[in-house]
Formats: sequence, C-alpha cells, structure tokens
Amino acid sequence: MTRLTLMQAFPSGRRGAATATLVALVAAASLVGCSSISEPLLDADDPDLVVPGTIQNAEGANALYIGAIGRLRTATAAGESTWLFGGLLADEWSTSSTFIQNDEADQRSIKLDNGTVRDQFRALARVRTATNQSLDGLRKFLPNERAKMAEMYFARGFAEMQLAQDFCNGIPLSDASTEVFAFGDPLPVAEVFNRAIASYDSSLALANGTDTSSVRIARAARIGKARALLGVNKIPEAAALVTPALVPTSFVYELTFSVPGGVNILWSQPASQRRYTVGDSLEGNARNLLVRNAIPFFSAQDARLPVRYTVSTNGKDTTKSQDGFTFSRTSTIYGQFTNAALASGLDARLIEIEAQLRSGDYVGMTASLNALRAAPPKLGEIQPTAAQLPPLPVPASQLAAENLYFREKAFWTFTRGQRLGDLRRLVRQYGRTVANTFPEGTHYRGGPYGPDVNLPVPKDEEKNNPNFTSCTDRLP
Amino acid sequence: MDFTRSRTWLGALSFALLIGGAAAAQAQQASVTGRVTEVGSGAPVADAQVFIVGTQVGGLTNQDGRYILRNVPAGTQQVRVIRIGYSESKRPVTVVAGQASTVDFALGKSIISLQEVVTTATGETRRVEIGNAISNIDAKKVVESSPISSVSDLLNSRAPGVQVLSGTQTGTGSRIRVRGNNSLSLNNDPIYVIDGVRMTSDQASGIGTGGNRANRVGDLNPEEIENIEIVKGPSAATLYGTDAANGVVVITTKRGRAGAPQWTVHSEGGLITDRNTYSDNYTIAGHSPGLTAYRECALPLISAGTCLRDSVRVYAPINDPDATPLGVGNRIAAGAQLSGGTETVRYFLSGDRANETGVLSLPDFERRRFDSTGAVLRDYTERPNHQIKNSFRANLNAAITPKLDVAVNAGFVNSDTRFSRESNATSGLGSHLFGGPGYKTNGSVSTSGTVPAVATPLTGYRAWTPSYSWAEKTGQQVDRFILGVNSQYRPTNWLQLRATVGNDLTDRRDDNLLLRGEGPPITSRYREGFKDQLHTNIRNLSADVGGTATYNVSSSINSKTTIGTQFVDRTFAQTEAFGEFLPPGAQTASAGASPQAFEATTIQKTLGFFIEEAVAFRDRLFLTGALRTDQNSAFGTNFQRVIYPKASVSWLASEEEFFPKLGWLTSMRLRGAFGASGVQPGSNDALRSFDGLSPNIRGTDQPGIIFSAVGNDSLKPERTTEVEAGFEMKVFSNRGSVDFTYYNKRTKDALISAIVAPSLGAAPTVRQNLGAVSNSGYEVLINGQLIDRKALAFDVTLSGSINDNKLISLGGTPPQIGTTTRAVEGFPLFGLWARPIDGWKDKNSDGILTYNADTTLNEVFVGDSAIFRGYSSPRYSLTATPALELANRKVRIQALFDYRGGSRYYNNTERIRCVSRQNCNGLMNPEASLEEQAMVVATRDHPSRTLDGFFQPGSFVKLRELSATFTAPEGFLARVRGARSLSLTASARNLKTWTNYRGVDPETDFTASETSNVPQDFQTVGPPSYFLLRLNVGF
Repeated sequence: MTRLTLMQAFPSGRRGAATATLVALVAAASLVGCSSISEPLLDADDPDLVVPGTIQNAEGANALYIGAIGRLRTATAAGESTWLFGGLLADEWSTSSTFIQNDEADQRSIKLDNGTVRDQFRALARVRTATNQSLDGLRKFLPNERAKMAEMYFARGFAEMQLAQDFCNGIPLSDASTEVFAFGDPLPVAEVFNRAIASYDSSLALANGTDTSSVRIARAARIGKARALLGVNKIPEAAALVTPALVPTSFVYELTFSVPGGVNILWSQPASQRRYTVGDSLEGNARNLLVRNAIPFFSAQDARLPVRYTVSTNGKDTTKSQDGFTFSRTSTIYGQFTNAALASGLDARLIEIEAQLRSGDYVGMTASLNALRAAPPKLGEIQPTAAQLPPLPVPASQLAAENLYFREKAFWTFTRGQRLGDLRRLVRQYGRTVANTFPEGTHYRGGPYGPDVNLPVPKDEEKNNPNFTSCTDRLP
Repeated sequence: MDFTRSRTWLGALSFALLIGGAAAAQAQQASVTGRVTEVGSGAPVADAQVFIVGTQVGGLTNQDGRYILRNVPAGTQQVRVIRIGYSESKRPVTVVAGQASTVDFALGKSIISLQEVVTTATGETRRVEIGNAISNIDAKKVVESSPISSVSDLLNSRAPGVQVLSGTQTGTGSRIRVRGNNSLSLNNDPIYVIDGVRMTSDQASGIGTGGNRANRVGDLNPEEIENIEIVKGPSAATLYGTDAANGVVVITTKRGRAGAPQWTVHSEGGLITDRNTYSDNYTIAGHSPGLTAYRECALPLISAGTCLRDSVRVYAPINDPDATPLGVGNRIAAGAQLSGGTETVRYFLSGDRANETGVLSLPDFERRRFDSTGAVLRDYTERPNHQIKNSFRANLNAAITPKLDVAVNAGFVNSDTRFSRESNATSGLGSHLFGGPGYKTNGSVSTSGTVPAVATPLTGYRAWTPSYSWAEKTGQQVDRFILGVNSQYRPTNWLQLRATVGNDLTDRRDDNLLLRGEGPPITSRYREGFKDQLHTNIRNLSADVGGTATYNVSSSINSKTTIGTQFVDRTFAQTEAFGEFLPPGAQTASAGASPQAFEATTIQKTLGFFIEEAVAFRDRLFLTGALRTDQNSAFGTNFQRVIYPKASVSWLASEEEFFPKLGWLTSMRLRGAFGASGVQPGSNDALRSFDGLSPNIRGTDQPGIIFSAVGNDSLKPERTTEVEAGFEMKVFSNRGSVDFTYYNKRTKDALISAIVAPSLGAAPTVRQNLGAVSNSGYEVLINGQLIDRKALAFDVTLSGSINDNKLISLGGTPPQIGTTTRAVEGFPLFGLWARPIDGWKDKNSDGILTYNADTTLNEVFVGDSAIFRGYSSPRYSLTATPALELANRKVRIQALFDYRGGSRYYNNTERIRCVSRQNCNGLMNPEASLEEQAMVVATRDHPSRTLDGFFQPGSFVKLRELSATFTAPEGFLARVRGARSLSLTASARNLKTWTNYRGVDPETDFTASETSNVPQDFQTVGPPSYFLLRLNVGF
C-alpha cells in the first residue's frame, strides 16, 4: 500500500487550507485549555454554603456558639433524641409507630445498624464537635465572653454525660472540629462520666462571674457535674455541689422553642404524631400483657403526669396511634412550645435526696420527697398541687426506700433523659439484677423482651474509627 | 455564568476555525442532482440522505425524491444514498467543473428496517462506521401504532440492555438504567441530548408525594420525536463528556420536508383501569380464655392458647366496589403537525394537548357523604391524579447559502399535574388502603386535635379515608422552553464547521396545600392547614462548537478529523415559602402563623475539548480514535482535569473477497470498541462547609451556623472504562438480522459515600474516590420477517440482555450495611441481604408456626448471619415483539411480551402489613401456608427480625402491549377529500402479568422516579392498564 505524507494527501490547492485549519484547531485547543479562560467559566459559587473562610471573625465565633446550642437542642428536646429512645428502652414510653427502629428499642433488642440510635449517637457527638469549634472561635475572637465559653463547656459536658448514661461501655469520644480528625478510643462509661465532669469543671472555672449569665451557667454546670458524679457512684460529692444555697429549687436552665427555631419534640413525637405512647405495666390494647418491673406511668394517674387515652371529641372512638393499631395514651405535659429543662433546681433536690437514701436516712429522704410534693415545681405544662400529691409514708426497708425514691424521681423527671441511666445505676450501684429492674415479659408486638440495657455504639463506628471495634460490653 | 468570558471562549474558537476555513483555497466545483425512487413502484423516496463519499457535501431528498448537491469537487466521485427501510446504494459519477451531473437511484426496500445513520457527538455518521452498538427507536412509527403516553413508554422494552421502570400514577417519572448500575453513590441515570442540546433530566423533581413524582424527562411529548438513539456505554459515550458513563439518550425531533404543506392530525382517546389483584385484609376475632370480651388474636397467640379464635374476618376496601379508591381513568389527546417548505427553508410545526386522569377516584361511599352533607368536593379530592399537558414545537431548517445551514429547534411545554400522596407519606393513601383490619366497621376517623375532623366511618381504611388524604393537594406546574440553534458552515467541500448553542429552561412551580379544617388528623395541629410553595428555575445552557475535516488519503482511504469543544452550565435555583396554621380560607404561605422561606442553589459546569480521527479503508474497515478532556466545577481543588480516550473498529467482513459466500448470509459486520467516560461528583461534594440554622435560644430565634460537610479536596469524577465487541449479521436476503454485543465495563475511582464515624460529630458521609465496580453482559437483537407475501406478513423482533454486576472494591472502607441492601465487595451493588429462613417445621402439628427461644420447641429456623439473597433489579430481560399483517397488509396486529428475571423484589407492603398493621395473611389467616407463616414469624418473633421472606421472586412475563392498526387503502383515501393517509389503531398496555411474586406486581415501585436504585413495593397501587383508540390522518 502506498503511504502518503500529510502534504501528499492533500491536493496542492488544499495544502494551505489544511495547514491553516490544523493550526487553527490546535490554537483553539490551546485556548480552551488555557486556565485564564477556563477557570472563570467554571466558577460555581453556591450561595447555600458558608465556607470556613467567612467565619474567621467575632461574628463567626458567635454564630458557631449559637450553632452549638442548636446542636445541644437537637440532641435533647428539639430532636428525636435519647430522651425519647432511652425512655423506650426503659419504661417511660412504649412504641406506637410503624418504625422498626422504635420497636427494637422498646423490645430491648436493638440491632447495631439501628439508624435512629446511630443518629442519636451522632447528635450527641455533634454537640462535642460544635462546642469545640465554637470554643476555638471564642478564644480567638471573643476572649472576654467567658460565660459563653462556660456554656460551651457545659454543653459539651452534658453531651458526654448523656452518652455515658445511655450507651454501652466502649464509647469513643472523637473530634472533627478541625480538618484533622481525632479518633477516640472506646472508653468505659465511668471514664466518659469523668470526661463530662472535666468539661463541667472547665465550665465552672469560666463561669465564676456574678453576672446573670455566669450565675446561670454555673448553676447548670453544678447540676450537670452532680449528675455525672451520680454516674460514678459519688453520691455525697454530687449532693454537696447542689445545695439549695448553690442551686435554688426554682432554678432552671431550659430550652425554648418556636416554629422556625424548632418545636418541642417531646410534644411532637408522642402527643402530636402519636408515635410514642406513655408506658405502663399493662400493655396491649386489651391491657392483658404484664410488663414486669415497669412503672405504670399510665395507670398510676399521677398528678405530675396526667395521661389519658386519646379519645375523639365524640367521646367514643379511641384514637389510635401512628401505627394505626395501638390505642394512644398521651400526656399534656409538653406542648409544642413548652420550655424543656436541661437542668433544674428540682434535679438538684433529687440528687440531695439520693444522698439521703444512700446514707440510709429514709426518714430524711421521705421528708425531702414530701417537701417537694408539698410545694411541687411546675413540670412542663403541669403544675401539680400539694393536694394532688399527699405525703408519702416512710419506707420500711432499703428496698422499699430505693423503690420509692426512684419511682418519685421517675415522675419528677419524666422523659428528660434520666430514667435509663437510673435503671442502669440500680443494677450497677444498688445491687439489683437486670431481670428485676428492666421491662420483662412478652412484648405486645410479638416475642419476649430482649436483653439490652443500653444503647449500642452504632455499627457505623466500626472500622470507620480505626480505634474502635465494638462496645466493650453491653453490661449496665 | 460569566458571559463575557463565555463570549471570549466561543468567539476565539469560532474565529480559529473560521480562519482555517477561510484560508482554504476554493477548487472549481459543480453540482449533482437526481431523484431517488423505490424499486418496482417508482414511488419517490423522501428524506433519503444523499452525500458525496469522503466529503462534507450532502443533503436530503424532498417529498418528490429529488435532491441537489452543490459544491461537489470535480472528478470522479461516489454518491451514496441511505434511507431507513431501504437498502443502501452507492454510484460513481464523473463531475465536471462548473457543470451539473445527474445521478438517479432506485432503492430496494429492506425488509429489516435499521437506522443506517446515527447521531454521534461529532455529527451524523453511518452506522456501519461505528464500532459500538447503538440502539435506535423509530419514535414516529412506534407512537402511531402503540399505546405511548410518555418517553418512558417509548423507551421501555425497545432496546436491549435498557431497563425502564415507571411510577404507577399518571405524570410520574421512571427509572432508566442502561447496562446496569455503575455507581454506588451517584446518579445511575443516563444523560439526555435533544437536537444537540443538553437536556435537563432531573429525577424526582418537585414536592415529595411519599412515592413517585414527576421527572423532567416526562415533560417531553413523544409526538414530536422522530427517533431516539441510545448510546449505551462509555465506549460510545466518551465524547459526550464527564457525566456520560451511564449512557446517553439522544433525541431527534421531527424535521420539515421540502414540498407542499402536509398536515398530520391525530386524535387519541381511551380508558385507564387497574386490573391488578390485591390481597384481602384479615383479622382473627376471638377472646381470651375464660373471658367473653371480644379481642383480636393472631396465629401465634392462638397457638400459645392465650387467645381463642371465634372467627376470621376478611375484608379489604380496595376489593369492595363501594369503598375502592380505584376507578376508571381516561386519556384524551389530540394534535396537529404541519411540515413543508422549499429546498432552502423547511419547517415543522406542531401542537398537542393531552389530558389524562389516573385511576384513583373518590370511593362511592365518600361521594354519598359529600352529597348528603353538602360539603364542598374539590376536584383534586375527587380525582387526585390528573395531568394536562400542552406542547408546541417549531423546527426550522434553512440553507442560508449553499455553504451555510442553520437550524432552529424550539419546543415549549406547559403542564399542570396533580398527584395523590402515596406510599411512604403519612398522609398518603397506601398506608390506610392496605393497612385496615379485616372488617369494614372499624370505627371512625379520629376527631382529636385542634381542628377536629368529622367522625367519618373508616369503612375498612386504617386511620382515615381517601377524602382526607386527597384533601391535601400536591401539584406541579411546568413551563419549559428548549431552544437550540445549530449552524453548519462548509467553507470547502472537505471542511465543515458547526456550532450548536442551546438552553433548556424549566420554570417549575410546586404546591402542597391543605386548607384549614381539612385533611387527615396526622398530628394534633395538622388540620390547621399549611401551604408549601416551591418556585424552581432549572437552566441547562450548552454550547458545542467544532469542525470536521475530511480528506481522501487515497482512492481507498478516507480520513475524517473532528475537533471540538463543549460547555455545559447547569443551574438549579429554588425558593420555597412555607406557612402552617392557616386562617380559614387562606391559601398562601404568607397567611400562615409562622411563614418561613428557604432557598437552594446548585451550579455545575463542565468545559471539555475533544479530538477524533476516523479512517475508512476501502469503505469496509473503519477505525476511530478519540480523546476528550474535561474540567468541572465539582472537581476538588487538587484535581484539575480528566482525560478520556476511545477507539473503535468496524469491519464489513462480508465485503472482503476472501469471505465465504454463503447463500443465506447477506452481510456480516464485526465491531469492537474501547472507551472511557465518567460521572461527575455532586456539585458541592468537594467543599468543607457550614450551614446556617436559627435555633430558638431563650425565646429568640438566633442566626447560627453548624458544620455540615467534611469535603474532599481531591475529589474527581468516577471513571468508567468499557470494552465492547459484537457483530451484525443480515441473513436470507435481508429478511433477518442478528445484532450481538458483549460488553465489559469497569468503574474505578468510584465515589463512595464513605461513612464518617458517628463519634466525630460531623456529616454522616464524605465522598471519596475509593471504589471499583464492574458490569459485563450480553445483548442481542434479532429481527426476522418470517412471512412476506403481498397479502400476509409476519415478523418478529427478539431483544435480550444479561447483566452481571459486581462491586469490586470499597477501597478499604467497611461494607455498607443497610436495612435491606448491603455494599459488599464481590457482590452486586444494591443487592438484597438477609439472614435466610432455612426452614420450618410444625412440631406440634397445630397448623401454626411459632418461634420459641427453646430450640426444641422453635418451629422457624433462621440462619446465623445475613447472606446475599439476590439482585434487587432484573438482570435478565427478553422482549418478543411478534407482528402479523393481514388484509393485504392493511391490518397489523402487534404484541409486546416482556420477560425480566434474575432478581428478587422487596414486598415491603406485606412486611408492614404483618409487622405493624397486623392484617396480613401469614399472621391472621389460619388458612395461610406454613411458608407464609414462616415469613411473618421470622420477622416479628424471631430475634433476627429477618426480612428474608419478603424478598420474593421478582421474575415475570408481561403482555406489555397489544395493538391493531388499520391503514386505509389508497382507494378509500381517494374518497376522503384531501386525505393523504389514514390509520386507526386500537391498543392496550399492561394487559397481563405472569409471576410468582406474592405482591401486587413486581413493577409496583414507589421509588421509580427517585434517584434510588432499589425498587420496592410499598403501599402503592399497581401499574394501570391503558386501552386506547388512535386516529392518524394525513392531508
């Protein structure tokens, strides 16, 4: 075959054209490849995003502070948090939704890939990352905002404390506040409580002023630290932190709500959407399934937690829940915009009362409990009266005293994220067994209650955190 | 977009190309004219493509079959004529400078009609010169004779390797996959090009319905489309750029023909029904031992003796004529098209209107209630699923000068659609339709809440009746304008410069309205009403500029060099207004007690450059090589440019002298191709960023920010490389053809949504180029004209494909575990995984299976760990399209049978009925088989909670289409004044399904229009059947 060069291939009259064309095309290619042309063409600034460079200033630091409070809200009362799921796993709530994830928690048989538990774990971790980011910004750009820094440490401590109360042994505390990730090792629950205590201590060190904000944060941090100390079985030390002089009973650090700024999910999920129904010791629409160890939050008809079957306005039809099957038991304790207490003087008093229980002072304990009943603080939308809460008799035994105290505490702190931690402490610190502490029997969705006494660190942590393989154990 | 910069870029390139052209010396040239007719009849053949081989000189025949080619170089030239339905013809002609030569052609009809010219990224090319398989759908022909109401219907079951699964409501979109799934994390949808313009094809576009919703491909009117080509894999799609790895659907709209104006009018009408079979609901009525009070049992309770059965109650509102929400829908469509023009200006104009009402209809018992109470019955409550679509098109082709052609293609669509909320929406129909008990007298709609509902009898629905669901209006209105301007300039007969600039502009308005005092009591305040209004602009601006130079290296070697650049700028801008707690009568978001506004923007830009060299040896061996390089706004800052190569070979082996001359073999072509393409990351995936939020703190909403995205500076596109090989064979004098293709493609740098450890407190995932995915398979297309007589004919088309998909690597990241699917190396993407039900045994012989922790008593056995249970989408397909022509071939009866298999289908409807609704067969029907009971026990009572029993056989055979077309004979037409053609078609769609699937239909998918890759049946009514009558008249 005859081989032709390019010039030979073109008729003589077309060589010039061919050359010119090829030069032109190569020139065009060069132009297209030229970054001075291509880069502006490819500009795609998205107004949806806030990029890191725009927040390196005082206003950015303040915005991060507000965002961190937002994260804390989501991880507690403004999101479907462990305040609700812990209550499912314990006895405060029963599932009335169509979600398998909720069923698993209520049945005490939670899979490691339970997406809701994963999101709740992440929500608490996000509080830590957000507070660390905020602290970095506050230190750089608003170093005199000590109360805000103190509040960030309080928020971080609260998240750590909640993790320790609700999750298994082997909790990793990681940090993504900078571009270099810091992966945490799996820590025992006690160590996570200690981390919380350290965060609270940092808060208290900063909140040492006399201004309103500092005083508010200091009181909240004291309550938080005291609750964390309960977790590591330092009951007297906890009580000493929250005496009435330091934390008055009327004190409350609370979350507030609005439509754009987030509504109270303690209202939304159970009362409005009817996905959670108030727990009881008799379950099933026929109320024929005994749940051993469960406080009958519904049947008790306690003034602190008014509960009723949700009936239609015609007075006849029992309103079913979101699952369309379960009769709905709802409480009016929280409305859409009812403030939710993250820390309160009531918590402080209950911590003091537990110290009395621990010291064997049942008379004093009962007197203190009755003092609360005689002048009951408002719980959400509910203002019980003394008449509704008559004095309690002094229990006759240690067991009865424990039962009395933790039952009272359960009603005083309903769905505020404390019940699961208390059940675990009953096993860890009061010598009880799981079988006589957690809900037992046949679950109304089928099958028996499972063995879980805490929430698992989610499966997504495995391998994605090089330091983590699984919960160290699932013990209380 | 920086328009100044854009103009600079386009101008520079155009100038450079024009300089080349202008510099070309003008040889003395002549013209060639002639007429193309049909062998035997002598009838003119219009729209035939006539061109001078080895040059850029070409044109179309007019209605009289005549053509004229100008600027033909002097000397001996080869003139080639191609027309679908006819055999290709080539004749030499000696052209004398300055004179006109005449060459007439008589084309023989080809029994097998293959599209002989295909549209590629570098222009139109003869099919035989391409080394890839490209499927072609003769849209015009299909639309006239089949029950087609959308582009999805057009694409469905007409091309091997292309799978389409559509939503079941009128106006909903579909999922289209070409040669399997390439990407674990990104979109697996093909891209679309219409008349050379990049088209918006967003999935799941609009306010959520809880199930399917509109997508933007659905906006197109099939009546306007001439043909569709499907470029299947990266080996063919390389030059389409960095998001073409999932295939390219190339749409060409109709063009005007030179000649007298010709009108084509069509009218279509028919009924839409639901012919599916739905399960009943079951309730076991009973009482506790020793008590008489009524209670409801379940099989395990009966077995345990804790509940004693009195009776089994069976009912389902969907099967009760008085309570069913399924009615008869209808479709009415009409349109007119006008085509004509001169040799220099041709036009095509069309206008269509389609009005379709889906099958969902307010049940009779509810209508009576509205009648008796005088309550206002709104149209969207009475018929919640409805669409009106108006579409207009004007295509103009002009030969401005003999060297310059300009085409303007303009299409406008206006649609108004409303949907029933379905499936996964709490307010939707499905959970109440399929979730009620086995009896009708199940109480009333709840009257709790701040604005109580009327205590309406539920009539077997779960918590509220359809009128409550359908009080909530979910609608979408679209105005869409697609404009493309294409120019072709031929400064010499060997150089063609082209430029296409287009804009696909969508203006979309979505609304979700619930008036105060209406709707379901989902939450305590839901009936206080709300309005959600979205206004969205989607702009897809594309520019494609290039040039092609051809030259004859020798008499037997032709070369074609193409160089070009392409720019695509897609901007999605949305504003949303939401207001809840409306005052009486209010319908605006701003009237709500707490109006809120939201904004969302997505911008993505691609700038690419490509060069292609194609060489033809003796007009029988064709080699092509090309490179494309892209830059994209979504790439990470550490990654600048991607380069994709391609190469292909096509060999008409049967043309070789040494090739055996077999009597039965008409022609044989071998082909092979290699190429790469990509899928770009999400527009913001590379960026570390924060989001704004405004939490309420101490009573005040305050502006804050939260860390929202981890980002990845090194992000680059997924890169899919494909090798394909195959052959095309025509046999028995073109009475049969076989087209076989093997492909093997591998995606590397696959973007993994790598899980971020939750303890980091960051985003759940971050995109990383870590994975590798493979797809391989076979495709075959067989056409055969088995009987071909004057009065009778029978032809059949068989189309089949097999796909083998595998996740090769997750790049060291752990398997991704979902509730139903897992991403595990060595297994298919989106495969279904579960702990298997290993067996069951009714140990106590009571006819009821139960779980017991005591293994000696347990009756349902489940494996210890989850295993792969099957593909979630079909991997095998086989379509058979037989057609019989009778009555002197004036009546054509055609069927389309569709088999799909090799997968399991997730019956999530039955799962939720068993687990939450407590009304399913396996839980509540003592007559249920042990297998059905085992499914339930394994997921309800066994600690594994395995879903295995609900991953059910997904294979099916469907009689998807059946049609009969009568074409009026000329004698009849002569009696109809002015009529040129007339045909009447009766057709039906979705007539019958044969399957072992236990649910409604293995094509009942509530995610079909989403970007999801895992179809599942979830509380959705099944695919409807269409029965249509269509009249086509040409004047």
